[in-house]
Amino acid sequence: MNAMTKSAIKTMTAHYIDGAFVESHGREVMDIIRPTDGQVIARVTLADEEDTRRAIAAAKRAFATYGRSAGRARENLASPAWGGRGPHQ
Amino acid sequence: MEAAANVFLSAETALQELPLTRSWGKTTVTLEPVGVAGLITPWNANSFFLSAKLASAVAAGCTAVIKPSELSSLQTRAWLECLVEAEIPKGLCNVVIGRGDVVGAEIVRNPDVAKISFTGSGAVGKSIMRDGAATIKRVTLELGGKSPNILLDDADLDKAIPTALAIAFMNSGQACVAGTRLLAPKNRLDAVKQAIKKAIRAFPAGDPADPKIAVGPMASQKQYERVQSYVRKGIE
Repeated sequence: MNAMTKSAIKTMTAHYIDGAFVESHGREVMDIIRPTDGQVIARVTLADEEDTRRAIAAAKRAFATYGRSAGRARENLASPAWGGRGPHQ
Repeated sequence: MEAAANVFLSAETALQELPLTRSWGKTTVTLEPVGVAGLITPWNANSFFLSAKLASAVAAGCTAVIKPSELSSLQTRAWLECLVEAEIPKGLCNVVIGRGDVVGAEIVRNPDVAKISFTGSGAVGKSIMRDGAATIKRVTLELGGKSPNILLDDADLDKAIPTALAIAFMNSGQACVAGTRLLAPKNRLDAVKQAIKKAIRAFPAGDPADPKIAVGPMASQKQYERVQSYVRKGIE
C-alpha cells in the first residue's frame, strides 16, 4: 500500500445554500468508498428535511429577483461573471 | 468536465435562438420561468448531469435546488467550487447532499418547488411522478435504459462487434445509453457469438487508471451485485 492510498480522509459537513457553505443540520454521516480498493476516502454529513427546506427557501427568495422573466435569464446567463459571451456576439 | 462546462454555452446559444414570444392571429404565447426547479441527479455522469440540468434551469429563468447522488459527493464538491469561482449569483443554485428518501422526498413534496427534473431509476421515477402530483409538479424524467444495438444481416462483424462492445462498456457499462443488448439476425447468431468471444479480449476488467483497461470497478457494492445478477441471468 503506497502513500497515496493512505492519504487523509476528507470530511464534508456543509451544504451550499444561499451562496455559502453552511453546516449540515442533518447528522447522519456516510462513508465515501473508493471503488478500486474499498478504502474510505471521505466522510459526508448528509442533509435532512430541514437543510432541504432551507435550500428551497433560498431558491425561492432568489427567484423573486432572478426569475422575473426568461428574457432576464438571457441576460444573466450571458453575463461576463458566468463566462458568457454577451448577448450581441 | 469539458462537456459539463460546454452545456452552459449551449444553453446560452439556445436561449439566443429561441423566441420567447410567439403569436398566431390573436393568440400570443410568452415563455416564463416556472419557479424553483428541483434537480435530482445520478452518480454515473455526475458533473455532466449537474451542469446540464442547472444550465437548462438557469436558461429558463428558474432557480435551483440540487440533490446530487450522495455517492458522488467528492465530484459534486469539486464542481461546486468551479461555480463559486465563476461567481454564481447567490441563491441561484443550492446543493444539498443527502438520501433520496429524505432530501429527494422533501423536494418532491414541497409546495415551493414548481418543477422536478430527475435522472435515475424507473422505480424512483414513478414515485416522483406519483408524489409530485399532490402539488401538481411539472416533472421531467430520464429513466434507466437497456438500449439495444441492432445488427443488420449484411453487417461487417469485424467492424460492428468491436464497436458494439465499445458502446456496451462505455463508463464500465454504467450509462443509460450503454448499448447493453445486441439484437442479431438469427441466421448469423453463431458467427456473432464467435466474433464477440474474439473481440471481448480487447475489453479487460481491472484498474481504471491503466489506459488498457476497459471496465473498472462498479461504483458501489450495490451496483456490483446488480451487475452480477445480470451475469447470472445471462448464464442461465
